[in-house]
Amino acid sequence: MSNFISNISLGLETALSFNSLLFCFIGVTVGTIVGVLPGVGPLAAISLALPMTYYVDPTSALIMLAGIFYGTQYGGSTASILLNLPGTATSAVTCLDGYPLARQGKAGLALFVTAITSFVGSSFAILLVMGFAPIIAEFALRFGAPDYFSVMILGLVAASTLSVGSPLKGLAMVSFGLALGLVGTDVNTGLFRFTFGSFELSDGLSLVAVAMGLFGVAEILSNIGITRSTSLSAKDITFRSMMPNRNEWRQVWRPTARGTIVGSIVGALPGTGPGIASFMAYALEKRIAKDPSRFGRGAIEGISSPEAANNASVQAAFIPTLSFGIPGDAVMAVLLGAMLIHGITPGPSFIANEPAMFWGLVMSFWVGNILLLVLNIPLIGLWVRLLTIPYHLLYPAVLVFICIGVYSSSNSVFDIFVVLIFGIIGYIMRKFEYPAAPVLLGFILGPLLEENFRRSLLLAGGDMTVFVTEPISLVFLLMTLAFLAVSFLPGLKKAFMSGGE
Amino acid sequence: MNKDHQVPSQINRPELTAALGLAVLGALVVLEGGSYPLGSLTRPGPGFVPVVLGSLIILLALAVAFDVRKSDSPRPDFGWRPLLAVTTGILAFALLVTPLGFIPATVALVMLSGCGETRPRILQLAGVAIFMALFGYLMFIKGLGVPLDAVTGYR
Repeated sequence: MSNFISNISLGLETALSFNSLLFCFIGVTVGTIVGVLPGVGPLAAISLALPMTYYVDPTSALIMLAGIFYGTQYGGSTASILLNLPGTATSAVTCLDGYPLARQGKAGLALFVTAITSFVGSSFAILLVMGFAPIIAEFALRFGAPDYFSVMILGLVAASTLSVGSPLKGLAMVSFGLALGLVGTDVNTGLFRFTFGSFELSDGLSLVAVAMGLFGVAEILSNIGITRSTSLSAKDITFRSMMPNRNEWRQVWRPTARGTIVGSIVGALPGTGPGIASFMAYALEKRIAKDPSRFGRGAIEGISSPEAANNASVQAAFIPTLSFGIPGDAVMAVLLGAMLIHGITPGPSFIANEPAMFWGLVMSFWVGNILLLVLNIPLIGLWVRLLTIPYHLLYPAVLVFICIGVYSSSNSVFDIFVVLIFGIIGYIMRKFEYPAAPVLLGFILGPLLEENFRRSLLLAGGDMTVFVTEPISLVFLLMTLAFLAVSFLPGLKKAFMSGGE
Repeated sequence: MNKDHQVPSQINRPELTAALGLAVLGALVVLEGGSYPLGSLTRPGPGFVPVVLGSLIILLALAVAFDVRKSDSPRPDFGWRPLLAVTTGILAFALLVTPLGFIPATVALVMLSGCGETRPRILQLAGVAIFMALFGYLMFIKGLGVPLDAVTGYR
């Protein structure tokens, strides 16, 4: 216990230092802006910020990148409620009841409720991170190469099959990502693979370039030409209009609690992101509601539960990322990539070796979430005004950021071509509904997966059964099979997603 | 997943083409991967994982192809204009940024990619171009020290 308290004070010391506060503030502010603006996703924003973090110390860099991630979850609901356009993919569910609420003149109330429930969801999940991540990491320290291999397989399979859409396409995209991870120098032999004689590829494809192409450029390409109404007035949203009355408070708190729990569980599973969490929370509310027909017409439960869930899942996703080194979703994968760039190896020994960084990061979550509450309640008018920037002026500016950002990460023009190629690939993938997040996850985990696979075989003397004879590895592989069964047997999937439509 | 109960008679050609394209990609991974030493199970070489992975891509792509062969998803409608505008914009930036400098490259990128909208507002775009050129110069070249000329010969 005294250990726990000393850890917390160590974390506070880091999180409350001037640098950390500054970068936390920058992170959550950028996150809110990105979340509010439809057509600029959190992944694009984090990849954009990635090159800038080369200039600061790793702790500040992580604090800022994490702030962008959870900040977007707060901002994402604003455009959903006011414009019926999700600011981020995860707040798509919030459109269903948030926009009808706004049409009934309750936009202020809806914005207030999403800010508060987001805060509640986040807070609970941060407590879970503080309690569980160190314990899980200690357990994971006993992992051998086969166990690592299997837990990564579990993460990849869960991430690609549990999302919305075809699980087969998801699996195909994870494999595509894994193949992209092959490009570069083979760790074991030093041989150049898939470089096709190109010197620039000897270090592998650049994470920043791949992510910005798949998520930044592809997102822009699919958003150009969509007309949006911008007849909005920030004046309508007064502080008074935001305050729920007693009855509304009572309607909100139970769904918030349920959403928090759903989100925490979903987020803590490796491979599942906030999108699934908010979707499941919404489905649950609708299922247990006395009058399900209210949903879609401005039910306040329909926004409070998913908003709590997506924020809880975003924070809980740090549990597998920081304790196993296995990212829960694509954003976490980029964050993991950022740690690797800074020379920090995420994984079980991270918490023990870098206590100041781990606890500093976790305590900065508190700082960031409190800042977000301030940014999203009193300052909401500022963000609403941001929504009036027309997209046809916004996207060329974002493209400039993408180009100069990717250039600055390597000082080479080569990566700009990589961005363009992946932008086009990503656009085609969207059109055919092949998910892009699994590609990134596979790309980042690929080298780790291969290394552990080859090491396992080496240690086992070529015996392939090592993956099922090692008990921990077997458990993960069985869980993987369960995920596959859930996604390929239609009846099971229906039960799992419990009547979402 | 399988939509056999609806039995649309038409073959969904675009979806099928996309899936088979992926299978071709898998085949290329197998071919290229096979050119590196495969090693043995005791000591897997650099070609081992690529061959396994490429085969997996082929299998999954074929499974997708089977799954979508008669799916009723509509022919995807590509925004050729945005695609062309953004592509030329990014290419212009990449090709101009070293010989001419950051500011001309930025102006080219904004003006070209801005034409992705059916009725580009040239004056407004010019405003964005000037703003981004100056803002980007101050932030990236002055602020972060990115080694680029603002305009050739002037940093």
